Amino acid sequence: MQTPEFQGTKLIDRLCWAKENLDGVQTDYRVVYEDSVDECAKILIADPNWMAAALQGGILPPVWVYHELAKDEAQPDFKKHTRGYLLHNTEPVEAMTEEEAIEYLIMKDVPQSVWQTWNEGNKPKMVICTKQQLPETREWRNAWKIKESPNDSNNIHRR
Amino acid sequence: MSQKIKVEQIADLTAIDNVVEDTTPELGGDLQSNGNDIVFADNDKATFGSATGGDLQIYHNGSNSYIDDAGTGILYIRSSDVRLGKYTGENMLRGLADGAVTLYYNNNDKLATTSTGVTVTGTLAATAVTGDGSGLTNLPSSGGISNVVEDTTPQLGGDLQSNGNDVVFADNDKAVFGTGNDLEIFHDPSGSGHSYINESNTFGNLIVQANNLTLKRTEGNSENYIVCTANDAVDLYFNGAKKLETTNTGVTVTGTLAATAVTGDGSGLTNLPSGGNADTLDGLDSSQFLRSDTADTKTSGNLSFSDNIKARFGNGADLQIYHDGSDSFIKDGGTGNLHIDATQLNFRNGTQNATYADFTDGGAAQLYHNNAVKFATTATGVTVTGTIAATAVTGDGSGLTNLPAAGISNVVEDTTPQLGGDLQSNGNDIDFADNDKAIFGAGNDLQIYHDGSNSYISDTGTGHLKVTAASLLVQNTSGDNRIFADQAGPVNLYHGTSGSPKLATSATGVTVTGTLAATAVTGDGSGLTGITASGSGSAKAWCQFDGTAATISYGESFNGSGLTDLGEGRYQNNITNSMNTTTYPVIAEAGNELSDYPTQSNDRDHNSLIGSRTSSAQRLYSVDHNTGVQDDCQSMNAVIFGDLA
Repeated sequence: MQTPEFQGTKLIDRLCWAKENLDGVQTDYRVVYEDSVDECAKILIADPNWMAAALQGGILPPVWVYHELAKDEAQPDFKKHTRGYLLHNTEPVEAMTEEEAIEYLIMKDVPQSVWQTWNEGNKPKMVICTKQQLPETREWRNAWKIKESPNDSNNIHRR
Repeated sequence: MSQKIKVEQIADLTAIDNVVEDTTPELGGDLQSNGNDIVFADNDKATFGSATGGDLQIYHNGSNSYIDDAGTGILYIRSSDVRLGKYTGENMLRGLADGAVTLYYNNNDKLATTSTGVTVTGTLAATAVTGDGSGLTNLPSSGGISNVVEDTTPQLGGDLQSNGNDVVFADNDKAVFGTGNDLEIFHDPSGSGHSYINESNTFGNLIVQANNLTLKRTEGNSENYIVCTANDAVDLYFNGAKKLETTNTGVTVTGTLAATAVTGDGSGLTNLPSGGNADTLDGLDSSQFLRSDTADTKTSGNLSFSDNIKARFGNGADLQIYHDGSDSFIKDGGTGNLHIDATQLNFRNGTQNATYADFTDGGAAQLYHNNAVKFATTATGVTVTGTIAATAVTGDGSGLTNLPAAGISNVVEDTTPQLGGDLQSNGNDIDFADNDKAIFGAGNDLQIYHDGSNSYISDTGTGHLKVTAASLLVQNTSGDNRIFADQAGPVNLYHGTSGSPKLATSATGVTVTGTLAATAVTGDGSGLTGITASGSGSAKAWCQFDGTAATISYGESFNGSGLTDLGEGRYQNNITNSMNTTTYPVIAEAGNELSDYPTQSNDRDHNSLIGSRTSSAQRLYSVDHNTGVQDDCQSMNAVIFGDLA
């Protein structure tokens, strides 16, 4: 199905169109990251509806829009967004591959402190894997950490 | 040991210890060198023969080495193989017993004696080689010549020196000069015999050059023909007497000058016979000259002027008649007028069969076109035969006659005007008064007019009123857009001075910017989108997922981008369209699937907590109802309200 020309259409309306017209896409990719040494590894899973919109193209705004809004929100006197039009009026991004969509999602929903320096510490702060590489049960979920040698087939281990 | 003893024994004697101490050494026998050299200092000599006569001395004087034979007899150097050469081994001269003596150059033999003479390797350069050469062999195969006569194609390798001899040409043998035999000098004995200097080149000259040149009779006779002197006269003689001599002012003729014609005006002639004047020309045939007195009438012959030679009249050459080679001129450049007086004056073509213009005394002056009168003056004006084309004709025309009876002075007078071609506006307007119409169509189908109050484009005929354009823009008088129709894109409707459309058609329908107020909107609304999503009272996002799954994922969601598993009983819902604030309402519910509800006790149920939130994410917690510990639940639900960013 071809994406309509959403000229001047708000993002929420574009998402409505996507939810009603596109089938959700369940991705096998998972993003595992650690943003605190005191916390267990966190796992990000893409929304199937969002993934469908990403693969379709012409719906989602560029990821830099979220970064701009995050800057506004980080201001001490922030009360409400005044640049929400960036979400609606910025020309939507074209269709992405599944891998490009995961990269987009990382830059949107993973803290910048993680994905900007994911490989600069003693061990990786972030791993992109498939769900088959995750533990089969949530036993000791609060102790899950990224291995120091993430090249193993199983990137997560229980501490 | 015995020798030492011997020395001690002779030490008691008056003797010398070595040869140096012997100032008059004498050899009592042959001097054996025993592997030693005899070294002569500079200028010390090995002298042979008479010690004082110096028959033979060998020595080195510090600069050169010498073998001097100053005595009597011959200095023999004898060997079966005698060589002179450089100390490095390079040969200079070699003599072999019973064989050749060879001279070398740079170690290469160049001259060697043989049993019959010598052999020279290379070129023999000599100031003279004597002998008759009768025994020469290996000469060029064509053979030599014994004298020049035998050489049928003699060529000079240098200047030919006569050395007191003549070059004698037989009769008709020529000295020929030039590539094309341009100049020949020869003697032809035929007839009385003549000698010739013939220059046959048609483009060049025969130039005889000399500071002083004389052509005269045969040697022994002093009679001159022509004498030319440098920077002076050229003299011509008759029988030895000079008759014509050039001078710095002309020529001097001694005797009578007889000529068929002499040109020049003779103004410089002197010593003419006295009484010479025009009268003396009387009696000559009048065709031979023209003079101004009335006594002469030129009766024959034309008076001809060459190109640009003018017949000039007036003291200032005011009137000139001439031909310049291309055109003929009658030119009056002086004062006054050029009058051409005639009772009947005609201007005609060169072949005299067509008239350009004619002028009659007391009558008409007429102009012709192709020999037909087109313009003629009359007693009352002019008569033009044909059409007058003029940019302007002045006068009120009150005396015009024979005008067409139905003529009109302007378009207003024409009550049934018809166009004979396209009406060109030429920068002018066509002004329609109120209620005057531009009417189109056979049935007055389309009318454009203004009735004094409103303007109309009125189509009352059949068919449509079509307005066609690549893009159509309707604006008010201030230039604000009212309607815009793109070639293949949207049709926009505007309001006020805003440049943004309020209603725009699109490929999927129309987009209304602002509030759509309608008394009714029909349709079942099944295709409506976004109606409730952005409304202030509707949910902006929701999600549902199983928190106990090994890899949790959304079960149901809207406006989500990703779900983050933060740990046991801790989750984060990330949304795509951010909320406007960070204080928006979130309703969450956590619990397990209670398949045997309500009989099952509540000790396994969960409570939900809403954690921190940003405009684009909310943290959701599931807590065991009994223990208060964060614990995964089977069904986590959250609904988000509030204003979107």
